[in-house]
Amino acid sequence: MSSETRRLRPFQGLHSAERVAQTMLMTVGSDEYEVDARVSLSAKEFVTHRVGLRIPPDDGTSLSDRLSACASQAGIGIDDLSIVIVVTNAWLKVAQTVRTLGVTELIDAKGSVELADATDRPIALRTPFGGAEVSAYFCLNKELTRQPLRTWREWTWLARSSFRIVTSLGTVGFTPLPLTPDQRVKLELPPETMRYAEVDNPCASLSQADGVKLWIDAGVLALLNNHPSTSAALTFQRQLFLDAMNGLATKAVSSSDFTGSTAAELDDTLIGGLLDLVGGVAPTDPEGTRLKKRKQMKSELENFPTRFVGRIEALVPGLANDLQKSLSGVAS
Amino acid sequence: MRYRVLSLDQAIEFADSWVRAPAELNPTDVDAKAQLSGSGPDFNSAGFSTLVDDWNSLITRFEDESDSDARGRVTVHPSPGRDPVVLSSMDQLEGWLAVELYEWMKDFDEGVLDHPGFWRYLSLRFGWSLISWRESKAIANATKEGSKNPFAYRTYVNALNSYETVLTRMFIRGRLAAGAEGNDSIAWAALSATDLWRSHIVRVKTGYSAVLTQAVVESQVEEPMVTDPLREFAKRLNRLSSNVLLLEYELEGARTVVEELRAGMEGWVKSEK
Repeated sequence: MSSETRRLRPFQGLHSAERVAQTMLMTVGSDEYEVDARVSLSAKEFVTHRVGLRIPPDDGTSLSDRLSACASQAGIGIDDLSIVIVVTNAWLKVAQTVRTLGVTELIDAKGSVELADATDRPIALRTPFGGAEVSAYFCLNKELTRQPLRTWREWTWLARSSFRIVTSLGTVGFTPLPLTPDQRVKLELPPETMRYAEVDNPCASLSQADGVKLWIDAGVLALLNNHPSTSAALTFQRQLFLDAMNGLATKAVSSSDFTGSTAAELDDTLIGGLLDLVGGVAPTDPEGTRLKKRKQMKSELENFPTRFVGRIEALVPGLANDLQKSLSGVAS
Repeated sequence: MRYRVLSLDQAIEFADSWVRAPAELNPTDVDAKAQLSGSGPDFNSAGFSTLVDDWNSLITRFEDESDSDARGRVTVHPSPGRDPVVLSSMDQLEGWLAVELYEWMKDFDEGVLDHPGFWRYLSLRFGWSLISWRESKAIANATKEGSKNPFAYRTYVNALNSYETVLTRMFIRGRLAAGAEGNDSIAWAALSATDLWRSHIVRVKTGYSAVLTQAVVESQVEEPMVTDPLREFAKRLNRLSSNVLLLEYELEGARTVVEELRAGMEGWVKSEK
């Protein structure tokens, strides 16, 4: 839920860099994804698919001119700008700088950078449980004289593009969206509704980034984006995950597509991902074990839905701790 | 590698049972419940068991030397050519063991290290003695009447948060120490550094960089900060991390950043927060 457009940063002259960063695309296999995408893959795809980043052409303005504008608007020389690509697994606490390119190199490469293929991959693209975050930072590459409201410290980033790659072995995600008065009307919700999980089809593809939409009161969402690290915000974000997953589970129980499917037929579906997550399916589990675990969880969801929801809660890291801090008023 | 994994439910079931009825503790029961994962040669469980036995002996020696000055004390011997080291806090001993754990596991496939079920298995099958020593307060709270968080101990074995679960946080600490320039002694160099490592290094972006970690620990060793200023320092470093890619810094640059932040804290008192 974070991007530099929502982040409060104490610098001026970043607009051009932010604009270029926001156009960046991530290529995974044969598909392309926009900034902030959350791409779900099977465990096998995660460890084999080609991954790259690309700045697409912009009608009328060359890449060279666009990158020059990034530097000049920020008050730095064109040679002082580098693009640093970092691939991270937060759970294993691994961050690897995969490429550092100067502007000339990026222009020579026509704005495209390969990060991984089937055999040569950064560590975080070999770890399907923890997943990977791929980030491109437009950075100042040397120390300048300190100036107010200007980037001056070496490796300060002007703008950033981030993408997530996950598997059903990690988490099933959701897309938080602002619930405005107009949207409430469209969704036929009363004006007081603060959040609403919308799931069209629990058997939709896991790679469908907006398969689970969670509408959150626009004001609350803005507050959350501006203060994401307080105990209350952390607790709320975890609660939102639960709301989204509860929405998915509830929709599944009443869906004949779900109840009429075998465990195998739920491969690469949203609800299949949730069942695998709750059932503790491992990437290296043999096919038979994987399907057996999924079948057990499917049965649990169909027969004991509230207990299944209770199991989801047990998967949310830090919930107990944050709830305790929030309720006892301990500041984060 | 073929290895065993425990599901979250299974891990919690074992931990809950052992916390409430220690007499039922039998780590070999874990093998019957664990599932096999991966392929190829088996995980060297005998070797890991020997490593953990050595740890438990070290903990016993540490506890045997408790006196009025220290909770415990034990002298250990780093690699040949280095001076013996006296470890006199639980956190220092955790740091020492962290390096041993990392050295033992550093060549494992990332796909295995990334599997929370593997860490749950290691925690319950081999690590319970270490964990119940290190997190004795959380375990005691489990059965204490009126305890605010009777299930706090679960976080130390469930592998949901790698910065809390004892073995994962140790592995990360050991890896950071191994990546430091010079030697791995930053893992145990600071005397009372539980908060430093767990809250201000492994939990936050600092823990992505071995040299930044080194600069922070060196600074803390040279001029220790108590809880509040340390927290404020960490807050300032985290704020800087959100604007600057500190991962790109080499040791000299990292040291400069840390010195600068500490200099900026001169005269800081808690009420100024």
